[in-house]
Amino acid sequence: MQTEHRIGLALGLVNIALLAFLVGASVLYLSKYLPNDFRKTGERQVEVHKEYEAFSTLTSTRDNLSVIFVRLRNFVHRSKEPFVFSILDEEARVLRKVEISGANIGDGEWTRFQFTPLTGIKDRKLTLKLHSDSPYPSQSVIAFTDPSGEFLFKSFGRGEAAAVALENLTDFANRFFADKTFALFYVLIVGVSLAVLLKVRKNV
Amino acid sequence: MLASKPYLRLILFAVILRLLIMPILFHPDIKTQYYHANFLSQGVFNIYQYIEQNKDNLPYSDTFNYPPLAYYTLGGWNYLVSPFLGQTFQNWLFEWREGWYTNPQIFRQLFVLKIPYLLADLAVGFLLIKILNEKYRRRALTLWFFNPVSLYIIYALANFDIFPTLLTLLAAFYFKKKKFFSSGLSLGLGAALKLFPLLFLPFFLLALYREKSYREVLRLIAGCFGVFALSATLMWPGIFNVTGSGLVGKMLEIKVTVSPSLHIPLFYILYGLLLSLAAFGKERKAGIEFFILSVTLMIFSVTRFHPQWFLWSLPFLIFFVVRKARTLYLLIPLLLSYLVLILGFQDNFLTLGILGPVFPLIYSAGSLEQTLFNVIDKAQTVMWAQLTLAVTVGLILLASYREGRYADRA
Repeated sequence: MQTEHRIGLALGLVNIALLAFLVGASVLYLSKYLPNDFRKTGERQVEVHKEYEAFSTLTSTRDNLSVIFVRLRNFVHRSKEPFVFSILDEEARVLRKVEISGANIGDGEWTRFQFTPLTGIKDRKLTLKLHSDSPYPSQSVIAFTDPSGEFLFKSFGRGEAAAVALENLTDFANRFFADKTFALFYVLIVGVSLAVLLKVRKNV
Repeated sequence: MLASKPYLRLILFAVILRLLIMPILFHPDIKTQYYHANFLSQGVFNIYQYIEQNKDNLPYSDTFNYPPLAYYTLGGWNYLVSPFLGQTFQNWLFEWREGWYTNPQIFRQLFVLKIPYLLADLAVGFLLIKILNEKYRRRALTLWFFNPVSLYIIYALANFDIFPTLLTLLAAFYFKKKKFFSSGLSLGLGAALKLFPLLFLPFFLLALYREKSYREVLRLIAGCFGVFALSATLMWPGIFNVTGSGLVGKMLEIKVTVSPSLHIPLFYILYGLLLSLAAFGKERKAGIEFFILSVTLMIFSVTRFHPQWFLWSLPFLIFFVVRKARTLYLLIPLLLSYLVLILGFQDNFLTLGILGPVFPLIYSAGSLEQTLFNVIDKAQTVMWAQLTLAVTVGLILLASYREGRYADRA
């Protein structure tokens, strides 16, 4: 086989592998991170320490919930104490509790709290709570909040990969062909290019 | 054009591949750049001044950090194709919350806005055909058109780096043809779009100076600075905003500690060594393409680079590796370390986010970097990738230098 063909084949395989990775990873990721409720905007800050707990409310838009990211700031990793994230139901019963070390909290990043999926929660109003054993003020952890004082979070549930892929690709096709003028032009230009490619002699 | 006829099938295949990916890959850079460029259609000629005066009223108040010609080029294209961008284009540009991916005409917008990149991309291919000997052309075109890095940078990250890259290649082409004014003009045009081609100017001048072509030195400087100064004066003094661009800051980030009070940027040291080589090294050994490749790979390997900067090296890297099949293997560690370093960026837009128009929820789904590096140690992995990158770049440059002035024998 000529070097050119070997290069072409290798690059073709690499491109296909990368595309497969991107699409596969996106579908897998989406199936594990199906967006639920968000509270994302706000730059106010509250300090969480052993005498002050922060709260937020989540109204579940899906039937399950498995991971929540909270925007926290542990300046220069000053808190090494246990940091506890809890989900409470309408009667303030603890449904899930995740404990991490303060050392794992970054400086203004979205900190992840993963737990055994909660199911049967669609449209239920849940309370999220942050608690730290750190003394105030030397080791408190900062939580970013919205103007009402509720801390920021992004929550996700899970789904079947195949169903997620189908749902997303159908949605993509619908959105793509909704712009009829462009879709027609695009199909035409790609089709004509393909026809020309097939017509051009192989050695050209 | 005639020279490219034997490669028509290859070029057509490359065009189709690009047509397929153009409307579905997205990075916010294309939106931010066209957000600024769009003000040209509204009669704003000095974008730096306009942002400064209106930043409190704008939905996105970041400064425009590129030289003026970038504004006029993107703004000119935006103006020209505005009838084809759809009614929702203005809303999309001014939407800075959730509607980035779900705009109903996003596919059309991405396709139309990337057409100039497609043309510049193809022009690099044609230029490679013009520069290279016939026996290397098919190999070079295959490498240029189908390598995942240029596809990723040009169509996914959709930055306009392809324009200055093309113009730098054109400058080297004219230099070899001994058309020094055109060479300087191309370099100046490149620098008027992004500053990095100015880093190559001393090497062009030194090569001419060593040949005692003093008049040619002046022609090259006139071409380069004429066009650069012309574009700069159009927006004086806002032009100084470009010093806030990534390159200027990032070149100074990694430093070598000489004494407790003296820290010299590593880039300066290596750039100084290259200048010395250009000034005092054996003239037969290193041509202008070697120095361009060296500077671009150096920026890429010893600074905390932006992923799109790798594009600056690619045509010159291909120029070199097509000649020696064995050196092709050096591309494997180079590309692998590049991939790992991209995965190491805490930025979902560089990875899964590029498929946002297909999977609009993907950006909300957290970061791939966070998931990957929960499993493997990030610091160690990134360190090894950086080391592999630096060693591979060193080997490529050594092999390239030993090869000598290959372009003369193209």
